[in-house]
Amino acid sequence: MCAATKDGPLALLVGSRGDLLIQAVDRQISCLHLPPDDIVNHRVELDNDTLKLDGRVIDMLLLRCHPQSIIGESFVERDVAFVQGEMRAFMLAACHLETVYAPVMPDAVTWYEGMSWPVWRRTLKDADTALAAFRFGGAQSRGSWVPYRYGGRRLKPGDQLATMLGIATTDDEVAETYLLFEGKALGREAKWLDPDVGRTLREHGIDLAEVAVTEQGAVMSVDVLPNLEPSIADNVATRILERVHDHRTHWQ
Amino acid sequence: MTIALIGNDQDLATNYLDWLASQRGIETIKLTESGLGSSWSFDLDEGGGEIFLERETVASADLTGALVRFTPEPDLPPALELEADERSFFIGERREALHQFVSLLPCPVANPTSAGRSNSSKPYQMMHLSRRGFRVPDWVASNDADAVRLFVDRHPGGAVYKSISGLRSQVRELDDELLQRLTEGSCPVIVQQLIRGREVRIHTVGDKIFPTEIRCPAVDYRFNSDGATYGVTEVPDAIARRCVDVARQEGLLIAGFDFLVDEEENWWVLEYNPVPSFLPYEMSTGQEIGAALLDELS
Repeated sequence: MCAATKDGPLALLVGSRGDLLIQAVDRQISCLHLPPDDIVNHRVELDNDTLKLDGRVIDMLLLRCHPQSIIGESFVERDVAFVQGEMRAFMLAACHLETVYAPVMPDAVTWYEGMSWPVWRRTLKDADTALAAFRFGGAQSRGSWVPYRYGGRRLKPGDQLATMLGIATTDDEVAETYLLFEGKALGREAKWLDPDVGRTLREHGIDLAEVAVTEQGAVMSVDVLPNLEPSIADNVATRILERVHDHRTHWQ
Repeated sequence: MTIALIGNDQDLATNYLDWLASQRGIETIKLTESGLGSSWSFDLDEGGGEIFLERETVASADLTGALVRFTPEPDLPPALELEADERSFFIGERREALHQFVSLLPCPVANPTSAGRSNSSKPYQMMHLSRRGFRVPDWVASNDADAVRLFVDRHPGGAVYKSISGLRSQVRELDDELLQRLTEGSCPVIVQQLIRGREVRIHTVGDKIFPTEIRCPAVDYRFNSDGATYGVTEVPDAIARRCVDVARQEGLLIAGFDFLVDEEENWWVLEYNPVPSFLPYEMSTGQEIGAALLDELS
């Protein structure tokens, strides 16, 4: 864990040390940085008003990891699954505390469904967003197989296994990806992206996301843990810190 | 009129609904998790599609309702053997496929798999219940023994503790054993202000409520029901309306809200459950919860 001594708000950064956004935020604000599997080894405290780590009040929580990576490997083997469930429940609540700014604040559905593409598809469908054409079930599938939990594309399995897995398939292709912060594309005009997508993601607690769309502007996938180029990471970190200060001013 | 029973065909509530449906002459189809790809399959998109059974094909548009009850440890399909990592992949993908399947059904579903997920994190759910106007007992979630001691000092009436996640765990009065465990190093627990009073479980089914009072000397009647009595009780209109509203907002056709009612008639909400075991309450009080649910699905 790193613990800088700069004055001002304190951020808890949860993710890999190699993550460029974590590094960029770390350069600009006091931080406590933890790999996701290490949180449980620290003293944590959460109530209706405050999140503390090792006795220090947290103002910002940046989650740069999937919920599945929050684990309790330091516990004896029979307790690992239990600890994992408890810590995931803790972290979900932590990023919903009103006094903590969290650029990625997944709701319970998103969190417990692994922030994977189907949950975003259902969310955007409810908001009447144009979506890439998929078929589900594997009984009459065509095109590429897109695994539910891992995304990407794979060769379609045989018919029997395809129906046992109820696979999702699509013929559509990604034409463009856009990095959104607070609902707006960074760096270039999002000419193929429905502006409602960014608004819907914000309504669901997501300020930072990469959205992949087809040539027709239909959404193929949403990644709320996108890899960022160094210059983009610095830009996003600066924007995040502005929000932290606004948030802190509001709650103090 | 056809109702789909999805998930676990060993589930008591599922079998009870199936029996109630048969009494009314309503057809049901059983779509088990382990049977996907062997006894049934599906082909759906956002516009609808078909469910293929061994002897018939059912259009998703022809379903009037669906009941979904999963088991935490589903079986593999018959005769399929997989290594541990393949098994984990298979079960995860299949469960997500069923989530997708359920979300594409154009009929009322009890309950959509994505509904009520807040129950998996008690502090998250309590924050939301508090913001929706419910009275929630004071709480702290921590693995810091000093923080827990400070919390207890603020609540001379006592405190209880339980798991943070949705895992079914026994509620216990806070004791030295827990403090010792936290001092030695543990994952966090949720410690909550102890409220003494009568327990009330309110089942909501659509706009209807079915309130059951449980009087029990133990801290947690679900694990120690010695001397417990069940009876139908009255609920203030505001509480009833709030429960129905929250269930509707969360997309829950059926839900179970747990309350403690203190001597001053303050209603303290503890949690709500998106997969409530309503049978014990129906059997103990005669409230027709299953029939109401069947009404919603047919």
